[in-house]
Amino acid sequence: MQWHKNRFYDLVFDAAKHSLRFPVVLPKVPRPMYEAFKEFVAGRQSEEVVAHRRIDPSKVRISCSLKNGNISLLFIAKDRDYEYATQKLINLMHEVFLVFLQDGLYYEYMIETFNLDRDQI
Amino acid sequence: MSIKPSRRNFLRPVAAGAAAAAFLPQAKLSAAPPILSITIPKDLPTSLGENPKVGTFEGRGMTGAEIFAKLCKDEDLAALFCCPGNYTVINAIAAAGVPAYGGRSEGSMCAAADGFSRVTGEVTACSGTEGPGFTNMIMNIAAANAARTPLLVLASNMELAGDDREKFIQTGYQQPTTTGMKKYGKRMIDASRVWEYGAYAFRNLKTGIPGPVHLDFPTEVARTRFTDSAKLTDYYTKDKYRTESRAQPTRKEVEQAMDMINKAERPIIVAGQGVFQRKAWDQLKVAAEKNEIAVVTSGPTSGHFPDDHRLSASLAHDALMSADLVVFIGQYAMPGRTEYHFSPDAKTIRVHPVAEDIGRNWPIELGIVGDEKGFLDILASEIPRKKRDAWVAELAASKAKTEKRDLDHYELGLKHSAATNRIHPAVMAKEVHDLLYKGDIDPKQTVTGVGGWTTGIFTGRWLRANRPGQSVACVYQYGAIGPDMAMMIGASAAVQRGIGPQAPYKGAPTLVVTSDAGIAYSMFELDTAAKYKIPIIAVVYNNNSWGMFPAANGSPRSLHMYLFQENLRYDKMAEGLGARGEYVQTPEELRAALKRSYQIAAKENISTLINVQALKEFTDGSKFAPGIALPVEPGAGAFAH
Ligand SMILES: Cc1ncc(C[n+]2csc(CCOP(=O)(O)OP(=O)(O)O)c2C)c(N)n1
Ligand SMILES: [Mg+2]
Repeated sequence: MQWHKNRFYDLVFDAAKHSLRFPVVLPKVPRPMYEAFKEFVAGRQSEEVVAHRRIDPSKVRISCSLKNGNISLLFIAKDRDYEYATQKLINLMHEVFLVFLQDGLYYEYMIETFNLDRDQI
Repeated sequence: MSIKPSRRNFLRPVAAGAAAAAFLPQAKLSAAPPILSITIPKDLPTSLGENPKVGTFEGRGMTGAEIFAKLCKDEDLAALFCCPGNYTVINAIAAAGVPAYGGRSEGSMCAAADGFSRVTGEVTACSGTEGPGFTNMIMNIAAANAARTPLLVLASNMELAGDDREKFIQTGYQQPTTTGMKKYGKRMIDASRVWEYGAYAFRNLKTGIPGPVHLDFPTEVARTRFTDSAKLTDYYTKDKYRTESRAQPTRKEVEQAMDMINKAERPIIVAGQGVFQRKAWDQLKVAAEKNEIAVVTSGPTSGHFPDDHRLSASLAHDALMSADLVVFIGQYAMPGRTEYHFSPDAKTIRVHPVAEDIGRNWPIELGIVGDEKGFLDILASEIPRKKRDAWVAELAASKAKTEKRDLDHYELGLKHSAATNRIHPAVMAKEVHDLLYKGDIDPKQTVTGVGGWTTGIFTGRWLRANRPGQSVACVYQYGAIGPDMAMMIGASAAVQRGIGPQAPYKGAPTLVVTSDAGIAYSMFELDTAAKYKIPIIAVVYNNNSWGMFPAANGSPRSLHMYLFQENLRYDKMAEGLGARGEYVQTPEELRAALKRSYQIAAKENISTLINVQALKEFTDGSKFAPGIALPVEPGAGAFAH
């Protein structure tokens, strides 16, 4: 299904590793933006987030990486509750696009990376 | 630097004042000829003070135009905005007693009619001459269409007899030109059907989802005289040619909705344009308060749920993602799921007056066909009382977070302003906010509108709508740069007359924040505002550019297309049009200018244009943080849906 910015996203499920992974969350990401991204993601597991939005660290371990400019996002379902992990992962992706990318700093990034018209964003 | 109010210089005959000199060729200065002052002609109040005269079939009878005007009057057409052309029709409508305004360009008059409607929900009309006047309106007809404005577009005066003969001026195939930007349109060719098509028009304007109706009026239709109503087709009164009945939701459907609301922990109502159009704000408030449902408004106008209410989510951006049930009521322009800030898990109810749109763009759990007011009537009376302390607390915390973000941006803006001796847009927005909502002025009083790009993005989030019809997103949906000030002069005309939700604030000044690119399209309407003594404060963010100039980055020979001369003086141009002008470059000057302008608008009905001198670089977040942060939708500052 086409999703944010009219793009397709691969989601890889690995039963052996109990993991769900978006290999490319965002492409062409510079290092400072990646640092901010990591902070954003870590924030989703912090006590400051209201309980119904928090990603429970006892259920999910999150890691991200930056390779060739691509950010990937990995969820490990510690208790094999895949429904929980999938739901939280989808919501997190949604917030990456609607919250993280929208705060003003990444406007030019979005235009260039997603090949958007300035008026269409 | 601050320039003193100078309208008075224009109003009194002056010999060779400094302001006057600016408008005089140098060579003539030495001769010091008397310079005439800007005055409102005596004919204006005389003409406005004349008694209305609706035509009758007696004696000479009625023209097609008069018959149509009678129908408009019977239908309470709220106002007509026009430029001369289509003379027979505009004269007949004005004579019939419909409030009429004549302005400087048809496009702006179209926007003004749209603005009048946006803040009242009433049907308004615009008119221009057949070809040139009509085609000048196009951008703003399209904007009205995107905003679902019940706007009657009238144009014509050519003859059918001249069709396809290239007979001098103004012939145009109008109806194909408005394809895709109207709800209904018709070129009338048979004078005996003028009433019948008038009825068609108002059926479309007053029922279902509103939108522009375009009637094309050849001279044979406008000028034919009738002495006998029997010669007209379908000549009967409005209770016979249309109905006030609306599709009502069934009780069972509302019960289903209430069940879902009760089961939800964090429900939110998106109160769309339909709630405003149907004037269902009281029912909305009762229902929300009884069950502690959060509410956020959407549409071209906001305030049908007050921003300052504890259940309002218009500033609770972060909390939107927490909602587990979204109830759309009267959402006329439907976003997709990646456009609104709701969780993919949130369930959806959509209440909409017509079935065809339900399920479009956004999958639903429950769709209900029915009138917004009818639905909210039942909801308000039947929904059980419920406390949702945690949800209410989350809304408050989220709102505080947004307010902190905006204050942080303001602090940054202050630093940028101090460093550059120009005004950053976050500072401009906050100063306007403080004037309208934090000082002596009733925070419910002032109707505002906003447009422009950088201008609108920074300002929209600081404007508030604390009562119905208080705030207009001029760029709503269509994204037109330019109609803002004309649109808000139309809105001001509605406030001046105290129409509908504007009644308690009758005569109050209004305020528009617009851009340097935008003002070029409608600045001449300051003449119209002055002529009708409509007080508006136009805050113009002057950044010497079309704010899309970064699009030229990396493209040779391109940047020049995005730039204007620097430091243009829109304030001086305003003075030349009979308004006041203020020029400001620091936050303190802006604060004083806003205050002064408001007082003079309130006391003397005089408009002011404040030229807020800025820099184009403020748009660029890498040089001047925070840069372009698009508004969270739905919520304060939203303009897409
Ligand atoms: C009539 C019209 N022309 C062009 C555009 C494309 N456009 C969108 S925003 C923008 C820049 C507008 O500049 P301005 O209104 O001055 O905003 P600011 O400088 O405050 O960013 C342009 C050219 C448009 N939306 N409407
Ligand atoms: Mg500009």
